[in-house]
Amino acid sequence: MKISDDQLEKLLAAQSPQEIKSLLIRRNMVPTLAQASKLHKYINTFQHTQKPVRLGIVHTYTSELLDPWLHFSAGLNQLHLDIYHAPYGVTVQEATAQSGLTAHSPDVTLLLLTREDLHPALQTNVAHIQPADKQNVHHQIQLSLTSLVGRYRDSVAGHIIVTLLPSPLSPGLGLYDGMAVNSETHWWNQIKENLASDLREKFSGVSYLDLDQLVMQIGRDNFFDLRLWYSSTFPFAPAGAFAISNAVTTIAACIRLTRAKVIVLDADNTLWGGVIGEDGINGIALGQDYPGRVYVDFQKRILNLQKRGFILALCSKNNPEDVNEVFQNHPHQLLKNEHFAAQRVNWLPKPDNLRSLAEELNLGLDSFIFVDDSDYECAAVRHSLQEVEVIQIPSRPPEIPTCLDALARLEITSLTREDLEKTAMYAKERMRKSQLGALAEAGGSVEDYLKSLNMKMSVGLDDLSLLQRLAQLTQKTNQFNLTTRRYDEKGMAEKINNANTFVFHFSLADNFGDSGIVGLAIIEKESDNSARLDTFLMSCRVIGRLAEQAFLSSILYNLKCRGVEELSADYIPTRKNFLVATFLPDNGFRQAADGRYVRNLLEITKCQGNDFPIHIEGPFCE
Amino acid sequence: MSIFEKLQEIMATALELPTSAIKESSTMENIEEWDSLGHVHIMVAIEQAFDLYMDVDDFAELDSVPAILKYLKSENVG
Repeated sequence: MKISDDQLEKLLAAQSPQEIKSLLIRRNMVPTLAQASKLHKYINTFQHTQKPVRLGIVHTYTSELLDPWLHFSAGLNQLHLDIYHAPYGVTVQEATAQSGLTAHSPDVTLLLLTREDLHPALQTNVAHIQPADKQNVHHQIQLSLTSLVGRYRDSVAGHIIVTLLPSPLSPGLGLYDGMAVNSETHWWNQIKENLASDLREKFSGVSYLDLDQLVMQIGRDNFFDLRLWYSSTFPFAPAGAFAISNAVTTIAACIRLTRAKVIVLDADNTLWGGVIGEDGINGIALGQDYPGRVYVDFQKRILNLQKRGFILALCSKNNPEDVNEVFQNHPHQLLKNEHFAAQRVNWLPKPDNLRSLAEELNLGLDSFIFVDDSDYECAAVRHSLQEVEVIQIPSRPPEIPTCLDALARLEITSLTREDLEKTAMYAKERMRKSQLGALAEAGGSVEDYLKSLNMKMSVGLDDLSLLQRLAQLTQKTNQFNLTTRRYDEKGMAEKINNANTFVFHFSLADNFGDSGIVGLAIIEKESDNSARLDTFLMSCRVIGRLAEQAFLSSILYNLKCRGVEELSADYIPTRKNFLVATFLPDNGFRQAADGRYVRNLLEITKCQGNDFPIHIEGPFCE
Repeated sequence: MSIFEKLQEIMATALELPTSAIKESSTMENIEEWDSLGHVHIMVAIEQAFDLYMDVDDFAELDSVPAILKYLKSENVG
């Protein structure tokens, strides 16, 4: 859809680049190059929030014409791009240490490939390939893609985005294709499924971006421009160029921006239409009619976001019993109490509630996304909590279900077991707290409480199978983190595989359940008898249970058993990690003249882990 | 705004140049940024701005401001 002058004026008054992006995507608006240039200038007035990203593009079709769209989309996603285009059509040669790509040291490498690059048979009409040959072609395609991606994975750090250009032409068998035994569409879908699982299992830090999804969103005729394709080997019409640029920069933003962890939702006119306190359970819009069905779909989208690993919280100005009645008794209400990790249903100012939610969940406010319909509440939160991302529910109901779709920070590039079980873990934490409360009332001490939990810690070392989670911990942990060094999966794999580097991790189980992997320490050996603590971090989920001390003791004993006599360590202060400011001196490290901390391990005679009310299992600690 | 002034703005945006760099006599020859990629940007931008659907076979001939102005006139733009 074109953008009228009026609409452009409105976009140029938006509160944030994110708001412009949301409006463009939601209304399927594609700016002209001139409009994009105006919008980009406006977006650059929010420059202070932009993060630099180095993008390297390897391509077998013209990619340079994407540049204005890439720069514009980057702005929409709060990024600033430095782009390198490899020479046209050069793929294998760019994956070497001497290439221009490697010299650019990209944060993100984008592979723009065509299907024909993977197998010559795809140059001909796919419908002509005999069913008997298909399996073979299929196999060859998988091999050539994984070997190409493997070369890039070995030669560049950072994230790799793989794309395969869909055919600009409709399937060879026309409208019958969906029915045909020899259907191109079905065959291609099978190939994609296998390619994706190969990439997922064999590589870390690699995303397959399915361009077919983009084509589906905007339509083949809007995506491609056959004139430019045939005359300049540039496949994209403006809408297509914008769509692919936006998808690529969204993935880059998802990696580069502070991770979102919590979605805080309002109730009235957000989860349902109307006001429960006034309209009553039978009066709110939620169900099979318009606009109620809009809210049912929005709730489904929210549940999907929970499946991506985001925590949900509720923040509503209401009487708790009114909201609870909808949760328990409304036949179309999908979100229930168990889906929310925390709730604030009261009449306090929302910024106050957000602060207390952050405290309860042990998460920073900069990981919060606040969703509300009210101008007043949105403005109040924007004003007093600038680190919270505010999303206002659109005033047109049909736009509500997709209103969170354009948020880069709600995208994910991997899914771990911990992601899927997060809300349940927070629910267990609530139960632990109530047990602590009950014990305290009965006159028990914190120690009694910790003992009553029956904690078991399992410590492990250099476990490649946990690569994804271990890298994720360095990316996500801000508070209980001595050095805040971030490692992507490639960097973490190098640490794990290096014989002079130890990567310890732990998980913690108790009466209420298993936390999953929540702590990580990286130790670099510097000589036969000395080592350096590169990273020591722990998820805030398990704070307050002495796990950090037990973990450290177990590591120290391990190192001692491996001949290490002295461990040096740093505390690198950030805005977030004051929690661990005294962790090292509190745990037997003394500060040397140069400011570094040192711990003598000769004095350790046994694994002191079991001095804590935690049973530790792991190397050397039985 | 005359057609030339509008074209001047479109081309300047497409080539990332100040408007003053686009003259009524400009050609692909005498503007360095107006290379083959810049040319596609200009063509796409003209289409968008004047709501045209151009024939790709015309692209090559539209290699100067006078040629583009003549083309726009023949398309009854402005």
